[in-house]
Amino acid sequence: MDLNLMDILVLVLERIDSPVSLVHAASTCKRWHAMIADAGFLRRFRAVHASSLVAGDYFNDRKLFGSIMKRGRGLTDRPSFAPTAASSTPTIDARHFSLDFLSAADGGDCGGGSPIWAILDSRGSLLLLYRISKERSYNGEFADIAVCEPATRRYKRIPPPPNYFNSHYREYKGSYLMDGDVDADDVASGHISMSNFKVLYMFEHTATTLTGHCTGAATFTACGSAGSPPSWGNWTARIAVASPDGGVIADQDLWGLHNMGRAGGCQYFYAEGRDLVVLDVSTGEFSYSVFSPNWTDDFDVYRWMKSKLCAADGSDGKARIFTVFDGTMRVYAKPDGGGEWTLEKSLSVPEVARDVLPGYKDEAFEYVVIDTKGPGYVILSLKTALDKWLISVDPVTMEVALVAKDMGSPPVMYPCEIPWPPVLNNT
Amino acid sequence: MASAGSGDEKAAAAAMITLISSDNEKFEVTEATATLSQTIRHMIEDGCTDGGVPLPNVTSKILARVIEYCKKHATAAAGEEGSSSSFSDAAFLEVDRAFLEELEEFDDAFLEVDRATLFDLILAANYLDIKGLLNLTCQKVADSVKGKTPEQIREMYNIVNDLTPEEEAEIRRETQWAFE
Repeated sequence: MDLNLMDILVLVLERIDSPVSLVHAASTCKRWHAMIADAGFLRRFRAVHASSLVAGDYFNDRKLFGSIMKRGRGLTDRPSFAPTAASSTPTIDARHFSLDFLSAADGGDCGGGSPIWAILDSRGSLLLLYRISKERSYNGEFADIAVCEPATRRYKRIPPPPNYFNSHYREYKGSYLMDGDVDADDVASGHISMSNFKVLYMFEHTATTLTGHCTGAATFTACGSAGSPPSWGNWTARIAVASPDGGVIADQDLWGLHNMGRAGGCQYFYAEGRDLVVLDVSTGEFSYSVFSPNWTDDFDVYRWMKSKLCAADGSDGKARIFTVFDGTMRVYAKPDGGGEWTLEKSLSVPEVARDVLPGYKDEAFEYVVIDTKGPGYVILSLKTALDKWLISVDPVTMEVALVAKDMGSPPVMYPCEIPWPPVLNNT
Repeated sequence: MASAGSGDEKAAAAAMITLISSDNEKFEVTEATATLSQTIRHMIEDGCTDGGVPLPNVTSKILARVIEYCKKHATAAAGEEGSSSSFSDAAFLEVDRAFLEELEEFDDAFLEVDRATLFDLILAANYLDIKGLLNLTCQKVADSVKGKTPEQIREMYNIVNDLTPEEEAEIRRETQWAFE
């Protein structure tokens, strides 16, 4: 009796939960190879073992934008990598995720010297990187970006969007990796690979009418299903935003968008005038979201925005919005089955400070703001006349813990997957 | 298990079915044991089990093992049903946990067979449509592949490498991350 009876072979192969072992099995013989290289088989593997495809997280060593202003000072040359704790064995050697292939020699046109690469976004097996010159200070204009796949050591520089430099004023407002075109042959990849991805590039600029600033966007498409060469589409001077009543508002001058963070697969922005603009990162579509907490008067003071309002996933994987006003942290969530953002939890920070902060004195309290956030945590920074603390809060359980002073805030993590499906179909 | 008796006393469970192996050996089992097999369950529902159920694809040696598995797991299923009404929740959970541990130990010991027998069990579980047994045995084989190099897998399962050196190199080049 051998294992090559087709019926039982597939039953066995679909129970191998390690991508590494599956690739090893595929390179034993033609029959095993054919069975594993089958698109349907690899798609089912993704559906069942999605979590075992996450190889680890990349992160920038310091807060990115502050460093860019200082020509990358404080950043290491490349993002660091933290492998995922072994969820499936055998694990992949972390050196396969080294970014040493990002060539220092590629620095010729960035003012000489080797560039610094910082991570902006990740999706599937791809990273979106920001290439920063050590020699030239950042002028707020075009972000020199590249897309790379660490596991296969490939990368592509992305040229500036067309007509980008035609308006008087423009300021980079962010860029995001998105799925490529949906192609029935390519479903196992989750619609993103080195040959099929999109980059949405957002910037603020003077509108063509010169009446004011507005937010525009352009999308770079790497070889869609039509087989067209990688290129930028036309840029949109004003992003079109779907309103909750089903209409689309395309002529609005949105400016000063405050990036609140990623939650539930969407990027959240606050627009002055107390609207939330939500970017669905899988489709590139913008929509308004109704969010009406008890806004306080100082809400539109721009410099405070980042530290008072943000979005992140809870430890249960559900999107949350947080506000911190007058010492109170509030957590909002959408009810299951849809509806508006509603208050879920609230926490008086000075009250818990008495319990968790050694030597905390109420009378010395000055302010509390959001320092940083990530999936499952928010870190608050609490200042008194005498001292400063970081406190981490789990927004689902509202459990509070003091962050050790020498730890500092954790960096923003960008998960990276193994390229899936693996390239096996060439035999 | 005290609760096992209550399952056996049920009228439906007491009905006996005769299974006939490929080498003509007869096995008497309760309906509760036999119906872990979806294939046999359907035959019973269709009323075609009088005079025994011939299983031309399963030898007596393998059928005996399959029945051993089904008996144990049918008892477990009956035990769960029977005990839920007669224990308090906490006590029930305790019994349940002990039961599951015992089952797990049984399954582990059950899998201590040579490779040929394991494959025969997979084929029988597939033919008889016994989900639990199929899952158990296939997972055992899948786990044996984990952490092995292609060469070790070939040795284990007598696989002849019919890929050309070029094809092998191509796979390796494109999936370098999976190799040392």
